[in-house]
Amino acid sequence: MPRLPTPSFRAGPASAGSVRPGDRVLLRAFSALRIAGLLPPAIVIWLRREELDRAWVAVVLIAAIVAFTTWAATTLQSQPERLMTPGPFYIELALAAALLVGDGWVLGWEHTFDPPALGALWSLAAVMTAGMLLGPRWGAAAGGLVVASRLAGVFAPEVEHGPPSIDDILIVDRPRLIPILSLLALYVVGGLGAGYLAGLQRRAEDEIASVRAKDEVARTLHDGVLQTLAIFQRQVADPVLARLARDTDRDLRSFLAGTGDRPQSDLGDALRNCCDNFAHRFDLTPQLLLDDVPSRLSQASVQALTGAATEALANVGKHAAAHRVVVYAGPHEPGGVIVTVNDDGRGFDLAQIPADRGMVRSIRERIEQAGGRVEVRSTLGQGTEVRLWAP
Amino acid sequence: MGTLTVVLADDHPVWRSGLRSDLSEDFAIIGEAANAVEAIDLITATEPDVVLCDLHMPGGGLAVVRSCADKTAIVMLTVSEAERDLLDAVAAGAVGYLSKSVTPSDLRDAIRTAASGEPVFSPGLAVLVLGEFRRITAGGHAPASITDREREVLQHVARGHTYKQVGSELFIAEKTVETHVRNILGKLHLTRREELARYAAEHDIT
Repeated sequence: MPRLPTPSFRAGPASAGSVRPGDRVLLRAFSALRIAGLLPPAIVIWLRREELDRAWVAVVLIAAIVAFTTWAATTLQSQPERLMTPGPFYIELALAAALLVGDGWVLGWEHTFDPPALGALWSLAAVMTAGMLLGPRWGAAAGGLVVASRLAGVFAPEVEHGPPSIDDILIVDRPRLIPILSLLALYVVGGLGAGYLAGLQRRAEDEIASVRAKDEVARTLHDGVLQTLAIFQRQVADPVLARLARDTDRDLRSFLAGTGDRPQSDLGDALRNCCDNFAHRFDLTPQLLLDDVPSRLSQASVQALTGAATEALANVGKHAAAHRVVVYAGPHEPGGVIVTVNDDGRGFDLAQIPADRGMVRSIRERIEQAGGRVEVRSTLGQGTEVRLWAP
Repeated sequence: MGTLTVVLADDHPVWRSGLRSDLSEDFAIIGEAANAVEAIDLITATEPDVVLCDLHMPGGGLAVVRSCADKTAIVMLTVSEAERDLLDAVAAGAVGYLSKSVTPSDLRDAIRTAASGEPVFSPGLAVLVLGEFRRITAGGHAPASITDREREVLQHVARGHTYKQVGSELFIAEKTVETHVRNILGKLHLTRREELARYAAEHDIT
């Protein structure tokens, strides 16, 4: 026997206070829809009071939906999570179906294919609740089910000349199907749409929650751990311990940089890496500043810039005796990117180093291969800046 | 001018004592505070030349800036350079910020700069400000945007240049660079204030 898929309740049974804000909004909307849905049957019953077959059925049905609507509206205030459990939901769905079938009983079975007079709006709320609780597919299925239950009316014994045959409906009476088909479409789309929207909303909420959680982690680390590490680096005389603190500090920062809200670019990650390596090798941590680095750079540009920056940094470490190194990457007008490596070290006399030799040459080769250019500025005693442009 | 007077505001005693030992030779440390309320009282009572203020101490460094920025030069100290609070503090009147990994000699220079009434504009702050103005301009509701020249100045500062270097790169006097930096901070102040007002108006309902 094929196994029937069973609906699973997306959000329940929930414990008190655990109804998501988005679900709460939907529950409130459905509650309003139900209250509004009470009006049409009341008006219809009043206007057609002369032609009713069984007034008491109408009264019982309306009393039932008034009772459910009232119960749901008050429960929404006190225990909204109860509205997300299977019990109330099945009762609501049964009431929705009963309204559509009862319609015929009260107003005459010949109205089976006409637009429902009693329960159209109220029943729609039930179908949309199904979508929200069970997901879009089950929402659509509930819509189909509720409308199908209305067709039970064609088998009612009191219909003159017996129930119409399928042929009667399909061949002779095709236009009579239009209202019921549009009702079917409305309910199916209603259930589907409510489920889809509820899903979207939950996903958005989850995303916001995860971003908040990450921010919280970052804040806690900033306040506690990084603070302690900063103290450590300042106070500890032992160079090994100081170095350990500095490395940990750096690791944490690169972890946080990955969790922050700033979008990271390939170039940014690569430069961070090369600054980390530099800090490991020399007793100096470069300050890395990323100013809106374009995220769509060619791999060749990223590699050339990173390689050249690594070389420029190595030079600073070996020769400059600097106290401070700043590595900056930012946008360059009208396109492309600029990376600079700036130190406050010794500097050198550019005239003494021919442009076709040493580090200047190899940096130049890397960058020019990628279609960029290089500039080196240095003043004795005032540091050096290597500027790299790439498309 | 005699010895500059400095107040330290930070909730970590170990950190304060570290700062004290770094600075006491060149400056007069006239008081320490461990939270915003203490800091505000202390600053009001002693009127120091410079306050080194932790961004995240209890009560918040921002509160100290809001109530004391007109009395003294406040330099924010932070372990994190990627926070909007930092920008808020600078927009509210702090003269700048320093990372807690700053070297003692840079810290001393910064205190002297702050005491002379100049902003302490680090490369990190320049990048934050550049990003902020880019964001404002992209959002389409810019009460004040920076000029191309001001953006150039910021980009040079972000690359690690001193004001003197920025001046010689752009063929302008060092004093002119200082003026640009002050104007940029003025505009930042203006835009943040407008943004806060708009935010408050938009979120009135919640």
